[in-house]
Amino acid sequence: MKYIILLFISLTAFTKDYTVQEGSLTYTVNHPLKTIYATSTNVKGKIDCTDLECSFLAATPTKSFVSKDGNRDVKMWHLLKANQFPIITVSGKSNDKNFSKIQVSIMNKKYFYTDKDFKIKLQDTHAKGFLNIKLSHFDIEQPSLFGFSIEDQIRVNFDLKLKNTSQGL
Amino acid sequence: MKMFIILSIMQLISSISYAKEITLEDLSFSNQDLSTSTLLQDLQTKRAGMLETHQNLGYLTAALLTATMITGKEGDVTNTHKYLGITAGLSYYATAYYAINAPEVEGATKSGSSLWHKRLAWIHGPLMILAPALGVIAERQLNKGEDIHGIAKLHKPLAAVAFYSFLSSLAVITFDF
Repeated sequence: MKYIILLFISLTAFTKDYTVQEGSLTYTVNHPLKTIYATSTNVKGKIDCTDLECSFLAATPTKSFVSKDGNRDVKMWHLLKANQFPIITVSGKSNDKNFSKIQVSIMNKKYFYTDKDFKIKLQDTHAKGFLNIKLSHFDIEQPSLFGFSIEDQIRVNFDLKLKNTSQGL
Repeated sequence: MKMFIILSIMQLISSISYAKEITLEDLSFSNQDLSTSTLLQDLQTKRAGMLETHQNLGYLTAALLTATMITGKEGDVTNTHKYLGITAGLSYYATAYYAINAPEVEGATKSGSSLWHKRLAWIHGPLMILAPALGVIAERQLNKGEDIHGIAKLHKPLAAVAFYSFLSSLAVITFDF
């Protein structure tokens, strides 16, 4: 019996859980006449790592993004159907602790991005990086102003502070 | 006992080797963050549609106002200026109608460019009533063979202020300052 307990202890020592303590997500929209930034600080997430693999899920409410213009934020809620699909999620799984593919879900439409489109820099309890998404991948209509549409590609920068919440030893 | 030990070990290994699936419920979002409403979505769709019409009519009004300003002559009134002015005025009121009647959305904060856009409407709005009225008075004076005098003299400067404040309200939405 004591071997089982020892095995359990030794194996649980390899599991690590992290939760997002605080952080921000900022998206950048490019239009020929201006560049727009909007930030959300309501980011929640969890990373669950074992000795073999890691999985994570990060999410933010669509309505939590704030730009310099309140009216523009409301337009973004409309385009992303925030009242029907209130949460945007990013998730991934890896077997070598380096994520090579992540899944983004907007309006319940899912799209996989490879490491060409994103970069995650993990340092202790700090995750920083970017993700380049395309509106067309989620069938989101590109808004226009003065006859010019915004660029299809949107860059999302993230800066997250993690907290180790492992329950192992 | 032996069987129990084997099963326990297998269970432990399988549960620890693979990371568990994390769901949205694990992230403890508030009910407000997760709430959905088709009614609000419909309201937002209506608002977006009306504001898009407001935007397109705004461009048309800007073009018509520019043409009206160009055709205005000192001490004279031409039919081109008069009819362009009437068309620009109608286009302006139609533009305003779509902005005023667009439904407000709960949770939206008035800030930045759209706030300035709205503030400038308090300048060009009243002037777009006053300037055409003074234009009518000025035309009557000219038709009587009189020089433009009295309050009618304010038609040109007030129309200019209305024009430039209207263009400014368009510029603050188009560019970020």
